[in-house]
Amino acid sequence: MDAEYVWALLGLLCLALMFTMMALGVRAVRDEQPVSREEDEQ
Amino acid sequence: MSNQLLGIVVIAAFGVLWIAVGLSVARRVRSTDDYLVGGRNVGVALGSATILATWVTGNTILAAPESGYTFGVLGVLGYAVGGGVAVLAFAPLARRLRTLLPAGRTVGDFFRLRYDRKNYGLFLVMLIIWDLGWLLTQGMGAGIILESVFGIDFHVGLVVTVAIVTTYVTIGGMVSVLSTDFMQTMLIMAVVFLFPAWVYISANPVDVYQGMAGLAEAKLSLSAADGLLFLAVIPLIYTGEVFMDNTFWQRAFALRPNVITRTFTLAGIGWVFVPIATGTLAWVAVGTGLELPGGPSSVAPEVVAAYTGRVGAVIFLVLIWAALASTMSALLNAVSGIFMNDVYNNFVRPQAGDRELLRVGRLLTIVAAVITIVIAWPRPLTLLTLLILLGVINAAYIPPIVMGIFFRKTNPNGVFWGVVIGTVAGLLVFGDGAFDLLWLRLEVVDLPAWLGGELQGAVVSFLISTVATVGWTLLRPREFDFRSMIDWTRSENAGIAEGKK
Repeated sequence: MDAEYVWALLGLLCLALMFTMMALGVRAVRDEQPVSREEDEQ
Repeated sequence: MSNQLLGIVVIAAFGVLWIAVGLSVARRVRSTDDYLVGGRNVGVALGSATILATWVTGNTILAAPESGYTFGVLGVLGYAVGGGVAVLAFAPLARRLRTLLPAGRTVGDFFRLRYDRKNYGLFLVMLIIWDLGWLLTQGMGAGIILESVFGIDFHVGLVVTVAIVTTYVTIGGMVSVLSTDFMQTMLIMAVVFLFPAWVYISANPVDVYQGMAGLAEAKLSLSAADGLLFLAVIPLIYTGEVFMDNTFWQRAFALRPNVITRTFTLAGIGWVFVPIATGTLAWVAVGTGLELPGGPSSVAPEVVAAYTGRVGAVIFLVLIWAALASTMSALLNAVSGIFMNDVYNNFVRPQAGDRELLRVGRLLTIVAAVITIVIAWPRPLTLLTLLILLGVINAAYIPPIVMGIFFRKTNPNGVFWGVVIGTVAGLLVFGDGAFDLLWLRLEVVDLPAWLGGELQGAVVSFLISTVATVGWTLLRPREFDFRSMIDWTRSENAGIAEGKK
């Protein structure tokens, strides 16, 4: 297979990794309500 | 009236207009916050306009057609999808960072609070290199446009453009930028509707298609290897650009919190149409065998000049001028923001008050402008090549930013070494075994032919950075308390009180 096709596939893999990281990140904080220490301790 | 004189009159007239608008709102600037993030109360309309104005650059008008000329259909698709996806992807990050960092002004604030000193220092160096590189492309774009349409010497065009933009940005900062952005965006959008129609009516789409099929059939292909590589990697590079660039972070801090997602989404979708419109102009050059004395970067102005005559060329110039000016103004403000907020206020004089910071910021805007002229003067590389070179850095910073914003346990050592090794390896791949950096080329290692390539550099830097950041985090998680970011206010910087004049 032409090397450029392999690199194109790797590029798509990178995009998939990037979107996966973001999706996991959004999911990880979805139910979180970021608050300051003061609000948290009340 | 000669072409040159006409060009000078047009640029002078618009230059006076932008400066007048910028100066008229400059008196609203009362603090460093106003200068950098415009009061933090920007709505959807102005917000979308300023994001569009920033992201529709000289590259969008000149490099999108260059990619259409080089890669054909896939080049235009890759460019359009890449830029649009990047802005859309930033929406969830922008929303989160606004919550985490209510007092934030720059992307540097995030790096300083989230990671350690070595990461902060490295990031500032990389960011300044990236921002100056981007400024370089805008300066070059201005010189190229004025030269190809009006025959004005490249260097004169470069200096005049930078001088006009610097004038209103220096005095009014983000407030001036926002005001001029709205007008410039309206002009830019006119490109989308006016010029492709005008050119294709003159050139006849059937003739263009048949010309392409006869002269360069590969450019019509949707399965060409180089085009597919471009389509896959450009979104990665552009997402890295948006994620690490201070112009987008400033806008995230400037927007009202409840409109962030909507604004970035609208801007991302709206942006896609611009490179499609400009990129397809290149196909006319391909299909008709048009000669390009200025090289691939000048394909758009050459096509417009050939098919719409003098009137069309003048109007096109005005529209590109608007795109360049708006991006250059955003960049100058962003670069001065990094210098004053992060470099000066953290390393030189942490006790500096607001008035001193404003003064320093204005001076540093001028310094950034002078640097832009100096590095653009020798006209290094094509615009697209420069973007891809800088893309090696952009791609390496995607994992640190995403992982840092969303995950508590990201290990800063993984981030640091991932960026360092990823960038070095990526640059070597970009340069086919050499560091190929604008004015010099340093041969380092012999790489096999299949391992080298410009776009391949960004793939390598992203993958190494991801493996290092994620891998190190999984092996040695390091807990971080996001509440420390939320709690941080400017009064915690020694000697600085919020709202201090």
